[in-house]
Amino acid sequence: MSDTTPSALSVQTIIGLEVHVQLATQSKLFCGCSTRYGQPPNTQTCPICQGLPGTLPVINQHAIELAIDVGLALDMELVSGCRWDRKHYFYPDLPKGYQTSQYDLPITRNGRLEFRDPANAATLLSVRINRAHLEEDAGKSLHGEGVDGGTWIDLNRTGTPLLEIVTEPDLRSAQDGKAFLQQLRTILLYIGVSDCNMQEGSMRIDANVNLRIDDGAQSIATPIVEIKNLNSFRNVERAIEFERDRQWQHWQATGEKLGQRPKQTRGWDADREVTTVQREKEEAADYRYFPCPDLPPVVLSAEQIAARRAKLPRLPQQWKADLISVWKLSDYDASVIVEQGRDVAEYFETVAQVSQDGKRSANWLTQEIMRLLNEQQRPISEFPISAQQMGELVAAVATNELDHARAREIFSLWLEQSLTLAEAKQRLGIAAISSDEVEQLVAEIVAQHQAAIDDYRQGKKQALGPLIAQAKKLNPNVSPAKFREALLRAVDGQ
Amino acid sequence: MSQEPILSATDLVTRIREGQWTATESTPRHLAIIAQRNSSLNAFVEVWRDEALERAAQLDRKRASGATLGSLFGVPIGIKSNLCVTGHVCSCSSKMLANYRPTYSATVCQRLLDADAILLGRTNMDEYAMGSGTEYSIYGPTRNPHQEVGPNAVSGGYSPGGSSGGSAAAVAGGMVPIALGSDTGGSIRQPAAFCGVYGLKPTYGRVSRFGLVAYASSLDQIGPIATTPDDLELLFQVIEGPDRHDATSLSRETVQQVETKLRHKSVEQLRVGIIREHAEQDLAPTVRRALEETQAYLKSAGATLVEVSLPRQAHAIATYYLIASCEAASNLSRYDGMHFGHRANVPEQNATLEQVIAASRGEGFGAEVKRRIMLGTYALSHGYAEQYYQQATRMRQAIRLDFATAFANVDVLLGPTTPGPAFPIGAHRQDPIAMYLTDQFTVSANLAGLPAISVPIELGKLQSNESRLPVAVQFHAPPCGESRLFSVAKALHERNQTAKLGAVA
Amino acid sequence: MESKPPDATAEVTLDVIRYLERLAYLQLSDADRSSLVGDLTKVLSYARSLAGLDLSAYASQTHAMDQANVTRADEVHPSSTLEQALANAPQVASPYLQVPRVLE
Ligand SMILES: [Zn+2]
Repeated sequence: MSDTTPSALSVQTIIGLEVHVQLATQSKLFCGCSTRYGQPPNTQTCPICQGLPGTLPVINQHAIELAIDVGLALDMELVSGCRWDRKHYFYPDLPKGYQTSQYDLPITRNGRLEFRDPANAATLLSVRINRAHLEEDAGKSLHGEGVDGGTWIDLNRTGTPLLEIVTEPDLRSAQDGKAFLQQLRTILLYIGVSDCNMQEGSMRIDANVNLRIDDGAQSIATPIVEIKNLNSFRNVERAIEFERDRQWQHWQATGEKLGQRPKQTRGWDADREVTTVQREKEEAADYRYFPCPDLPPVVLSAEQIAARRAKLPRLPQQWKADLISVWKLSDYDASVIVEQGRDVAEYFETVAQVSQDGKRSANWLTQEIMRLLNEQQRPISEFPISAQQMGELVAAVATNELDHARAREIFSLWLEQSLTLAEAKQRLGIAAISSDEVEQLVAEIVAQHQAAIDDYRQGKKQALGPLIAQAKKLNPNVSPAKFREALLRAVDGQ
Repeated sequence: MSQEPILSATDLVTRIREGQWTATESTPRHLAIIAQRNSSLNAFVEVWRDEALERAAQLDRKRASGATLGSLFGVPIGIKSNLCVTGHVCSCSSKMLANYRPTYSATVCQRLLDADAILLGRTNMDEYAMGSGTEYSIYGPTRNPHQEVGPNAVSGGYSPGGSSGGSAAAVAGGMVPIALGSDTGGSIRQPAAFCGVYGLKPTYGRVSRFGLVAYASSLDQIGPIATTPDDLELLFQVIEGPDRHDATSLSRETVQQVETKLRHKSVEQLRVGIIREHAEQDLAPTVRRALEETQAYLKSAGATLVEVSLPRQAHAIATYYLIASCEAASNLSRYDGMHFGHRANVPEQNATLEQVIAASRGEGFGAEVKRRIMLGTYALSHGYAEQYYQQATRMRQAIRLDFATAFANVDVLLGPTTPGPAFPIGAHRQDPIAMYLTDQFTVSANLAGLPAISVPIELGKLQSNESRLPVAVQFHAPPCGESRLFSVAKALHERNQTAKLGAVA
Repeated sequence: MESKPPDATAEVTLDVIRYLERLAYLQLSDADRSSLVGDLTKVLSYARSLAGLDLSAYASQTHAMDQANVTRADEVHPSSTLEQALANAPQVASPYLQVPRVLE
């Protein structure tokens, strides 16, 4: 907060978020056009999403299923008999002159999301989710591109299914907002309802911000400002911080309270790092909502919901619990893996299943693989070593077939070349050693280092250490553990 | 030109299928009649002559090849100007869409083509189907082929009704045996009644609306207009059925389930409800006679007549105009001059986008369309929706329940289609409310989603001072009860033939 | 004045007409406006008969039929060609539709 805050005043930032998530369907919400990103302008439209007279919408069943999944994941009430409403406003990227959305009966409502307090990792914060409703996206306007400064319109995105997730104003800082969004994104990615790709606009955020100022005698709220269309978590954080300071200064200058001016819509200028006024209408927007007569309501049955629940991918919380209970990971390791996303968690699980060694699998993943991926800024899907292979490698270490140093040599080779474990071992001259060979090596060492053997027998247990190193020098393929075992058998048995 | 009377669609298909005639012979005949009569009737606003002749030749080749022939093989048909056909202007008689050419075809038009019909052209209508006289049109009014005779006759001619007046006049004028209209509050039945032909408003959802430019989506239905009940049924059979492009179209299973419950009945087994509230209205003398003669005939044919009450009929018009206007205001939001349709030429220098859109809409829409947009905007706007739109939708449910109660006791309902026969062109121009009231008997079927048919009635021996304009009665049936309506209409059609010969008193 | 929503029970005045005109993006002439005052007043006098009734026993019927769950499978179908997509646009800057500049 600004340094001009008198200590007698307590000032809270009140934040509510509206998160628009593009659902991972193949086709649009009401027509069969593809939702693929980045296609040439106006090549992914049809008479229906162009809004041509006489066309009618038909709901994409999968969009409903994905919305149910979100409702289940966020512990929400699913509304049977949800309805479709038209929200009217004129804008050139909205060809029908209304957006088909859900007004008073959204598909799901009244949920809750918990996330780790960014200020104190031991604490969980909770945000109430007011509702999540389905709606169609608008097209894209490119302002000032045409002759006479005209606007160009690309309708490819028109009709893409969106789920708008609306929170209660429960957030109290820009950092909380960011942490909430990260947790929400993690959940949405785990259940696979969206790719949440912010560069491509698959996740866009509006933030409602105002201040509650308490001077001990009374509590005052400042007018609510909606910051539209934030397209990165960093921008959400910066915009809220800016708005908090701006409102504080504005209040100090004017004393303006909630209700004394209409809700203002502002945009975030990421270059100048300021919010700017987009719209301040004298009248409250009158969208003339009314039920879309072309779309019958959706009645969700208990069976349908149960079927989605049965198919719902594991949520991050569940993954974490599983990693701790099944693979005996520490809370910290489990969190680190889960927060990397479902692909990483699945990779881990395969490695652990193949190797049957959770702790070693976690170490390899967090220390070797994730370090490399972070360096190269690549997702795990592009990592050259498959989870199955990695599991075999970890298994070889776990069963003392390989020592860690040799395993790392194989790991490095695998980054360059696609080989099986056997091929890699051969390439590196790592041969499996038979027990006869081990026995032979033991005999050789015992013969050459009788003095050390004697020291050992007289109680100097550490005397055998150099002998193991010596054996490894004689034959790099020998497993130190196996050699030690055989040596002990030899010297203790005599 | 041959003076042989124009054949019905049913007869025409039979003749062409049996090889007595070809499509190449029959099509020019219809084109010639249009050429001859359209300058006075103004029923067709565009004739697709070359395309029709080419298609006729194509159909004859198809027949020669021995391929299976569609049920409308070679039949010329008129299409209301609010139905999309790829590449043809679909103007809805509005300046807004005067040059608009859809890039897709309506499901019904595709079904006509699949049934081997010949689309002859598009017919006049009230702008966006909002009107009851086919007068609110950029193409000027359509004239009813029928005239009053005697001292009361007006010189300017009579309205064919509306909004499907072009289609009704084209059929009544012998230009085409059948045509498609659309009915939101009576727009097929009222012009059919005024023009002395048959018109059906099907059960909501039996005919796909995909490709019908929407006026009021929860009320609109496409339906047939014809000179005989057989033709009406023939055309209905071609266009009805589920459509994956229309989420409100009824599934085959739903229709079959309901149809099974409505067992087929011959006229003598029918229980006919007489709608008390309609009969009590102020009706023109010939309309009252039509009702009485229909009742007398049905009674003589063995049907049971029962008086029934639809207590909320008085509220039907208000309910209808509120709901229709709200839906219209919403549906017509897409005409902003940005993506298709008319864009006003506003000096760009100072113009805001809002001004360009408002000017485009102001220039593109006619007075009646503006009236309904304003009413709908009022009724949906913040603070009014509860009082107007919400109340209207509740009243709609009450009206629907009134019908359900009535149908628990009777098979069909009988009443007038309109309070009077056709009015002179321009009679209601100064008074839109009087125009709205001509729909007072037809709007309920749309509110309740029911099928309803208008059947022309030949009156027995007319006095010299009685009107010679056509009159009609209307039957309502329960949802999916179209077959009941066809069988009543067929019986009355036979009676009409007898009446024409003067055998009915 | 014209930007304030009018009172629900008030008379239809020119101000009401101007408010609706802005909401509907519909430019009217003075003659249109004055005839609309009369027309809307008449139509609403019918409509007000509904406003006074107790219809709470009846569910709001927004669709003609009691249907539900009519959906389509998530399948991609061919889109229009660019030429078709731009065919009816009043102004084109291929591959875009062009509209007048948007003044914020
Ligand atoms: Zn599309």
